[in-house]
Amino acid sequence: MDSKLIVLKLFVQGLGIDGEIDNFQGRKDFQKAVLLGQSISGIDLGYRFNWYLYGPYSPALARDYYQIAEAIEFGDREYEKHYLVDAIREKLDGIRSLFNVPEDLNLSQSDWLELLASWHYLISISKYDDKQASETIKRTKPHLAPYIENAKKTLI
Amino acid sequence: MPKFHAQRITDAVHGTFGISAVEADIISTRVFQRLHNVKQLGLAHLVYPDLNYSRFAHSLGACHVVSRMIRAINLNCPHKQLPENDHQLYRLAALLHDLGHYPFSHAMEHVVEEYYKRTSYLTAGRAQKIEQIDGNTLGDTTERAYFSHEALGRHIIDEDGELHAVLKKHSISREELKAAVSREQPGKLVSLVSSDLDCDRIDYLMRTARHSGLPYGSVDIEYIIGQMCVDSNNHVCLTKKALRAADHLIVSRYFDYTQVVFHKTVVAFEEVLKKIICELLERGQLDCSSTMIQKKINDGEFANFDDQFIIGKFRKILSDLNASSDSSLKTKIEAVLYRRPPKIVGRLERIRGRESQYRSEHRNLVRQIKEKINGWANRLNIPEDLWYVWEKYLPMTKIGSLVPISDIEKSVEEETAQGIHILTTDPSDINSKSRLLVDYEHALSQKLSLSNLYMIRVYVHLSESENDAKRKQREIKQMIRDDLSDFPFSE
Repeated sequence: MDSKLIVLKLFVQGLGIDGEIDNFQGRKDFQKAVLLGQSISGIDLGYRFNWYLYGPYSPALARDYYQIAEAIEFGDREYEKHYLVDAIREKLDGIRSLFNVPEDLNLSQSDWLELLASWHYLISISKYDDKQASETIKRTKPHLAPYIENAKKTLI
Repeated sequence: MPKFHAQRITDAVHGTFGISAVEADIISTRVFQRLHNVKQLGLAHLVYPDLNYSRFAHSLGACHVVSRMIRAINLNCPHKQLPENDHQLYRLAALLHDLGHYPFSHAMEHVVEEYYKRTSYLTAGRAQKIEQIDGNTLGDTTERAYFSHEALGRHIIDEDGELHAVLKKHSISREELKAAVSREQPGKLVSLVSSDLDCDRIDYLMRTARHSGLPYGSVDIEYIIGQMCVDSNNHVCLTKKALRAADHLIVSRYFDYTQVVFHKTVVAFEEVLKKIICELLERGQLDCSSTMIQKKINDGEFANFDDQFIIGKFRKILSDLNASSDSSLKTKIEAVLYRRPPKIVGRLERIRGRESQYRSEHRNLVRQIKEKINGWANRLNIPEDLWYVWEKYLPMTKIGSLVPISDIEKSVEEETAQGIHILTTDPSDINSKSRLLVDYEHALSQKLSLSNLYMIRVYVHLSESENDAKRKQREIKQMIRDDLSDFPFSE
């Protein structure tokens, strides 16, 4: 497992995400966690995200998490011998709580991550205003639209 | 379309085509002119002498191809006319998609990424604090130790004064341009510049076929472009009529990879190059940190950060080397400068399924070889540093490389967006749908998507003269085969 993959594995662990990708839910969570983790912590791992039909996605990140999964499947646990430097770990610790679903919301963590990541992407990266971002969420993820205000409050 | 004919370019691949005034001004900037001296295929010209085309030519070609794709889509899908302003932005996205490429492209970038992630982001001891790396203190506003080529392209758009002046002259905002280059706007046709069928790949295949002299890129690209359309989910796709041509494209790409990118000698040179760059980074004789790159951009020196910059560094270092203590580095640099590649002394190449048993087998075989290198190095008195074990498995089609075919229906839409899509309805249907090419039972691609090409190669530098080197190579091959008598070496 090369350094790039070790960093990615530890980064996602540092965000409190298990990083399992054997189902599409896990893969979605991985994508959203890295997007938010990079953007909010400011630690740039080099993954760029495009907006596909349903939300931000990085093909390069997908390639790398499949490689991680394969390496682990074949017994490569090199990442267990390394740690992220303190400066990075502290930043990730500081944002981990954002990924917890607010108590009064009836949403899975996966849906919460998807909402946070999509809203953040539309506002901060696509440079949409609130109205454009809300309309996009309503059109592409109507089941998450009622919780937009919660996402906004969390990301301030 | 007078907007895109402010100037004319005559190109070996596409003939004569026009570019707009803003494109003409952009290609005249120093940061874009730099791409004249960044070869698309690194050191491949040392094997195919004419394969030395630049990223400059390729970027212009991609710009032209994306226009042709858009015109075809507008023709085939009357209900999906792209606004003219979007047309210019897609062209700029294609033109600038390689702006931030490193000298020697992916080979160098991979080494740079590995080095800076290892030294700046990781520590072996939990208590160890690393706060200062190459003058870049983590906790600064720039929280990156290095730039990926895509991030670097965006950064150049942000920071380069000459480029900024051009954009201002043509009333294009940097944000608008970055969004187009980075494909960050919902509702846009991301797959025009990022998919199995994007303008980048199409120009690359055509240009590489032309310059290599190989026939593998001779796909009916004209027909493929003419059959482009868009489905109701904004996937760029092909009409049903183009299914066979799309299959041919996938097969051609496979042969391009095996004959060009993974040619045994091209790989040999690339592995040597990567080792040299790694060693120079470790020694502090090369600095590709984000701090240094930022400084080059600020000082206007980034325009000189090209293949010749690296070759010049190699020449200088070679002339300064102490031959007795640095013989390995000397050998490697001379290999690149004087075309003396390491010789292949062991090889395995075969096509197998993508199931985990085959990938596990591949990993075990690689491990067997790697465990032997130290012993062979000592036995032959050739330093371990001068041996290379290269391994790769090549998925035959892109969709299969990420998502197992069996999981396509369970995958997220984004995972399948990169694959080639074939329209299942008429192009003029406003509710048109498409399916992945690999989903069609009569598509060759479906069968290919079930397989990988597995490759393992062992190379070693030989110091002997030409005739003696051939004899030595045969001896080493035999020694390796005798040592690993059960290893399924290829002939």
